[in-house]
Amino acid sequence: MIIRKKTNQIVLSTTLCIAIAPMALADQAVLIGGGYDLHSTQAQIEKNVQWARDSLESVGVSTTVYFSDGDDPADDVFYLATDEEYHSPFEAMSRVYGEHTANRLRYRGHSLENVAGATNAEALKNNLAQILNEAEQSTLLVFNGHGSSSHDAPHQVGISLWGNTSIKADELQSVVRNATQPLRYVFTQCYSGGFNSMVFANPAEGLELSKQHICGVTSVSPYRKSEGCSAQVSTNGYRDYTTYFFAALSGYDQKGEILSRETDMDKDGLVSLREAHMYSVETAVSTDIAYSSSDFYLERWEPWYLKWLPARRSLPNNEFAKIFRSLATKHNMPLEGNAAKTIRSALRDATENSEKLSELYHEIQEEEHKQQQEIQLAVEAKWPALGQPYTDAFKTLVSGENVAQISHWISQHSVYAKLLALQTRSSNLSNDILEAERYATQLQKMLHMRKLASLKQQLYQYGSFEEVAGYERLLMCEKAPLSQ
Amino acid sequence: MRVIPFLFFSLLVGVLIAASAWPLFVTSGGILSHWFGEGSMLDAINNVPEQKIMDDFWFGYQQSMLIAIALGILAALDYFLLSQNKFTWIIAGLSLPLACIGLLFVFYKDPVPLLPTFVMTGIGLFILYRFADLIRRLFSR
Repeated sequence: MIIRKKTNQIVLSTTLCIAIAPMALADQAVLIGGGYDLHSTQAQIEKNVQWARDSLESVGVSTTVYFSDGDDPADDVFYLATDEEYHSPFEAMSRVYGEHTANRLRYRGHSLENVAGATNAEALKNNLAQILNEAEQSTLLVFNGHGSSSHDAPHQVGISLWGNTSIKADELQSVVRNATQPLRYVFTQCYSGGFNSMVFANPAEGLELSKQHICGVTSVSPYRKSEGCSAQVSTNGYRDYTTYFFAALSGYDQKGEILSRETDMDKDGLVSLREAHMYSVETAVSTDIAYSSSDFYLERWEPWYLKWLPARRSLPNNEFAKIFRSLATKHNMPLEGNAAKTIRSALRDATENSEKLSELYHEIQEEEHKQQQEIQLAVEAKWPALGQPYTDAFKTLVSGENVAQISHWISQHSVYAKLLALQTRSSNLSNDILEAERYATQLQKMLHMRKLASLKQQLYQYGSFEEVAGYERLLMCEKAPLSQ
Repeated sequence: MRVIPFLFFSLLVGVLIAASAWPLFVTSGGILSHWFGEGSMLDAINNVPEQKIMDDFWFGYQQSMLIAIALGILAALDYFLLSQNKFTWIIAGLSLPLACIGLLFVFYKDPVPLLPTFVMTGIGLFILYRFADLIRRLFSR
């Protein structure tokens, strides 16, 4: 029995070494970014694509970029004007008529250089197929943008592309099926976890892996929205998966500051996809719970006779348990004993807190709406044309000196100061809600790490030789560095 | 009670046990997961669509069918042989929790931490068995 097990291990190791050998070559990267139209292409997406490109090129990976409308000089990005840029005569009016955020929006063409083309689904599929067919080295596919959900079938989640087109996970798998070299991916959009089904021969079910060597990481599960897509130009507030992942890869954050922690865990001088992913999982304080293809494999493997049982309270000693311990220490949660119960109790409190904040936010918005209506009635009694935008009377009214006069009148209105205070409060509350959700996610992440820690142990206990080999093949693929 | 109707009722008890084995196993696992605060099911409730959980439940039902049928046959035999006599009646149905514990030690590689779930399932089946017996006795008076 022992001899058989050792022979199996030797065969497994040899198989994996042969399978992973091509991965040793440097990767080329294909970066895809942008929304499905101008109004869905936030500045953060553009910034992230540029950031990913810089990070990859800094470690010697060549990049090809496809972004929204490609070379078309028309506007394809929107952003929020900074305080320095923002001097609007319509400020008071926009606050009273509920267009305050919209008034800050600015539109422009993207500023990325050497863009290979647009991201319309059909053209992109052809371009990808060609790149993968001609590749002499492994390819890294990175997507920054929006995703669509599919609650019934994770393999049917999609990426939303320019011109309101999309590519679903199983469609993408059929595009990459002819790839001659390994393919790895980083998907950061909402519901991106469904793209992990591409690693399987049948994305819908089963554990047999695709013949092509495919593996990667995603920012969330197939059922969860991801953080990101801010219209703000300043990168200080960005906490999406791209921000952490590519920082781990290059060793520097988006501001150009060196990271406070080593990301090359095995000290081989190169940061692998898995190392960057694990760093992101451990470090990110966002609403994302990131998944790698091997994590997805573990969850798909979990057999029916284990799925419904309570998990062991003592954790095995593996990488997931290590991240759990790090997160639990950071958030003052117990490591042993009733750890899971305590975390669940804290999660309930955090969720309640978030719900209370949301209720308060809606109450304030209602109050804000009432005060807006009160000022609107007063201002329209004086300038009736304000109540009928898109009319000649309105056009005449807002051209010339009237705007300054109206704005001044509004700003002197007795309710306006209250409205400003409410709008500031609702904006602060919106940030508080996001912070509360981020904290709740950290607790969920701890539970997720505990689950993966147990699942990994169970795979080695209960899994067949083929199942363990499949998992290890994905691990080896994720552990290969991006450049040599 | 005559042999044929009693045999028929024993088979009915067997069918009841076979049909209830998987739902009781899932319920026991759920209660203990909730108690300990840890289990895939708890995470699924928060993170996975209801339909997927139901699909997994039905898949488990199908996969466990053979074991459930074996438990059903055991329950029918137990009922037929032990429940008529007032002395053997005392231990009638106890074979079910014992069988559950036996299944755990035969099929699972690390059985001890899972013991509470299987004991609870066995006790649940035992209660169901006794409840069926109680009903029969009430109606046979």
